[in-house]
Amino acid sequence: MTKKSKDLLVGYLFLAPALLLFLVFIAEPVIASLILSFTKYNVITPSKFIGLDNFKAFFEDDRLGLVYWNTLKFVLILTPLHVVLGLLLALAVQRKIAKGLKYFYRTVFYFPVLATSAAVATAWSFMFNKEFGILNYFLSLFGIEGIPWMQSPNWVYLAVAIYSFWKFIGNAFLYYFIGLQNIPETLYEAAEIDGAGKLQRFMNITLPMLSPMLFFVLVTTLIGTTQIFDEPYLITGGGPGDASRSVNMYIYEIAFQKHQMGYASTVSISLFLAILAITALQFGFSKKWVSYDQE
Amino acid sequence: MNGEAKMAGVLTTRGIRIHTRRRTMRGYVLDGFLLLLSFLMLAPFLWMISTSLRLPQDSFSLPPAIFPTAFNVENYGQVFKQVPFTNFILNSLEISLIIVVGHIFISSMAAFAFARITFPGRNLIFIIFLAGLMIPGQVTIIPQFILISKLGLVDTHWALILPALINPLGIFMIRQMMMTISSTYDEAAYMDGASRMWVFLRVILPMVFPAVAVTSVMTFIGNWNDFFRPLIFLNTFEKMTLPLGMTVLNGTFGSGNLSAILAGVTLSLIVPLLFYMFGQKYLVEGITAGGLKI
Amino acid sequence: MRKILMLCLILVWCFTLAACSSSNSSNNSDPASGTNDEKAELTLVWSKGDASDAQLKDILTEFNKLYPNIKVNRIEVIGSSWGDYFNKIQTMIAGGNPPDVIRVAIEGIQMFAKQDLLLPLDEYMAADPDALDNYDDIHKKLQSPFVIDGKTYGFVWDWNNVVMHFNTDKLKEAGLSLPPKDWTKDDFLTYAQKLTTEKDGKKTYGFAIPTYYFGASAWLFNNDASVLDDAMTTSKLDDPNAIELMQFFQDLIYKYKVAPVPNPKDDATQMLMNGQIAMMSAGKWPFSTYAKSKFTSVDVQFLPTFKTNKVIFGSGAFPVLNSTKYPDAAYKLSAFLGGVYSQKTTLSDASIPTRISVMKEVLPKTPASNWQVYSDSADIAKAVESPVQYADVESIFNRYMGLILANQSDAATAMKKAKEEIDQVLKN
Repeated sequence: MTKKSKDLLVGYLFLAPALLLFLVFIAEPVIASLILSFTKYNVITPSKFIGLDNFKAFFEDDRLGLVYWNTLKFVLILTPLHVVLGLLLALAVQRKIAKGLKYFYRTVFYFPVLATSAAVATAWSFMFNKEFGILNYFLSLFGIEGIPWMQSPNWVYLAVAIYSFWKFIGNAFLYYFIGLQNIPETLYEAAEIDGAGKLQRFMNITLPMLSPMLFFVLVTTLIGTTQIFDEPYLITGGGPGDASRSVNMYIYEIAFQKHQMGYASTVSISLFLAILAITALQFGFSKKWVSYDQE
Repeated sequence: MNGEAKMAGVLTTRGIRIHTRRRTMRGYVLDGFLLLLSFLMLAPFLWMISTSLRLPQDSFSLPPAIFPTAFNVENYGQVFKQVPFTNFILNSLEISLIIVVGHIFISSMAAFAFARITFPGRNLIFIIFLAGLMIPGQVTIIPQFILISKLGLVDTHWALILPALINPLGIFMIRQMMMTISSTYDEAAYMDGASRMWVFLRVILPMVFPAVAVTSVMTFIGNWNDFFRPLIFLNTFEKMTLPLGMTVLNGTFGSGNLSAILAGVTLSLIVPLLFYMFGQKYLVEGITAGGLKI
Repeated sequence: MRKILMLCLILVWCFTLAACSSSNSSNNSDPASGTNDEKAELTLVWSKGDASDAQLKDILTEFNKLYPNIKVNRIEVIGSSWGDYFNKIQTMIAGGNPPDVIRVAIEGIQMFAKQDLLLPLDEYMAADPDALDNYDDIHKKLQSPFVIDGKTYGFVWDWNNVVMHFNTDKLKEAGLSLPPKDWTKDDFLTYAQKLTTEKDGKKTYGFAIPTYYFGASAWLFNNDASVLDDAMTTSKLDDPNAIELMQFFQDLIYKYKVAPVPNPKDDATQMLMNGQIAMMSAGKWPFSTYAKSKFTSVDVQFLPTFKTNKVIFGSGAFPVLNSTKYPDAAYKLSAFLGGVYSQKTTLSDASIPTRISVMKEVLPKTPASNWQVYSDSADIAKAVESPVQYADVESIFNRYMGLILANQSDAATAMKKAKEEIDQVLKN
């Protein structure tokens, strides 16, 4: 056997498990989704080809507009929350404070990320109780009475934002924190000698050096919030009415409660296209501001 | 924010502090703010733990006593009596660990093929894998459910494990790190008559440890906390994972009191706490080593 | 090293193949051929909330005395409502591992029967009537939901109505006694107002609004309204009586301030025991929670009469899925679980028994002085409306009721929209 054909064989052997799983659990489902979206299928009885009926239903679905709008609200609230506040927190901790204190902050901010999500979400939903919740009790000490966390279509977003901050801010924080630590001190020293001011140093050194981390946090948060499910499902139940129901919750309802696999596939493809567009935009813009040449 | 940037400036990469202890007003305000925020982050845990030790009828008393009035450990007994809580924890551990090990093995092998072996089709497959990175879970979940139900694997742990073994992100992160290793290492080993497998296991894999570690930690966190897939695939009580089990403990047809639920929540924090103690070092090292460039 | 890789691949393939082949099954057996020593293994869906491990073990021990070779494995399916529970069982069936015998309430029987998932049991009843253990002992009306188009799909096990539960400590504190059977809307409002108090930072509300389909339906019935029409082909939620009741619920929270705003994780039974509320409407099922928590300060009364007084009922049984490999054994289990021994074991403090003999024996032991409300209503009760599309109807109803109770919509607007959506679903 020649080296070339040996490499070919060995290469594919190393790749085989990943390739097989990729084909079965990612590639095939994507194609199947496309096919399913033209069918009526409840898994129990055989599927039926129904042409464009699902797409017609898609445009006539009254609830769909609202759940898409809700998801957009989640994205617009939660993305800046994590991307910006995570950075501010990291900057605040990344100062000349005692090492032990730094470790303490890192632990306090990061631990909730690990805490079993559904468990702590359950606890939070009790804290948000309007009449008997501990949150409204403490707010009442400051003269703020009876906030309808779960009953108002606006407050419910603040409730999710508060929970999301508490549960996930550690993620963005940790990436930024490590990113900041990796910026070579000499860069700042050189800038200081050149007479650069604080703002200049932040804009010219910190931000560019941190841009890969910023980009990572931005993309992951954006994709994550577009697919948001756990937070509304576990805390708000999608309510009041449909006020906090996300697209993903709606897909779950159609597919696994109503068992309309065909129509659910149609909706999921629409969300896929939306995510794809956002991600493509992100990567397009990233060339303008993300610099990977920090070494 | 420029103030902090300056302060960041007085820190070296190695974490050696330069002793310029010049405290500003803003510094004190920030310290105060961080301490307050830390308290607010910890407060829910304090409330969970203290309420979990109260008598059920006191669980809603306001103002809440910070320390429980009666150390009612009975609530913890209730958790184990009402649901197979030990099973929940063991199931979650089992599933998460199998996925981590399998995923790392499969991903690093694929990464090795992409980074260190030249063969036709390699780049094309790599690009297809990268495209797979963009595919959100809910597009694949419906066909995956149908597939897994045809395989007869619904309500088994395999339904959760098999699809989670493949994640292009892990392959990508490990491959990126492998690319930075000079080819002289492999060549020297091949000269000595080493096999591909030996080079992979003994030469390359140890050198990409940070990327492997960060992928492992992130995979573990993701699967430990996964709620959506168990919700769809698992029906039987004894097979449920901890996150799914928690929603059961929360009462279905009207059962379970707040104290007992919070006792369950408190118990659910044990594994994450242990994991943080042992895993955070690798997570930080892995991210520091630059495994996150996309 | 290549050997290891090949081994991996082979393992994956073997595994896949094994999984594929295990999903085949055949289910042909002649009902008449059933004998008492037939070997069978059955999967039963029944939650521990209905029958604890100890209770089930007790029942199966007795069952195995009659049929020693039928092995029964219990699995639990957990849903947040009946609709959710039925959906999950359907997902299980779709997932390729259908159980044999399932606990189904009236709400879901049409849904399963009309989708042709259930086994008609009449042939088996004729072949083996002894398994039924005196069919005439079963309350006819409560059994009727499980006989569809002349075919029997199960034997009724439990039933519930909806009555008012009082925390008697709170009644005493407010200087009130149990209201009479014929109390009215005004009496109810007075009670709710007097029972709403705040003392030492502990708030008590007079009443918790039932935020679930069965509970809310009971109140609709009493206002001479209902979710659906009699033929269950269209929704009647836009009827002025239905709107009036929903508006009254909203007013209880925002105008009279005697009811707490519902929150997603509320559990009215716990709230009643904690003294967070003084009255709630429920069936008999909270008594098992009362017993577990040793809570005895409780009494019951019929719901107040609004425009009329109709008692609602819902009953449950153990139908057999037609995919079962052991239809004869499954029939025997279904019959036994609905039988006297099973009811005596499981229904002492939970739901109400449906065997007339067991009802007479068990109900007087209810730890509430006015326990007759449970025995008096079986004959007059009206079934909860449960069309084939029950799960969808329930979820639409709950969603709009949530909007009303969150004060995000007035009752008329929300109920009209709910009607439109429900009508759309009923058409399919």
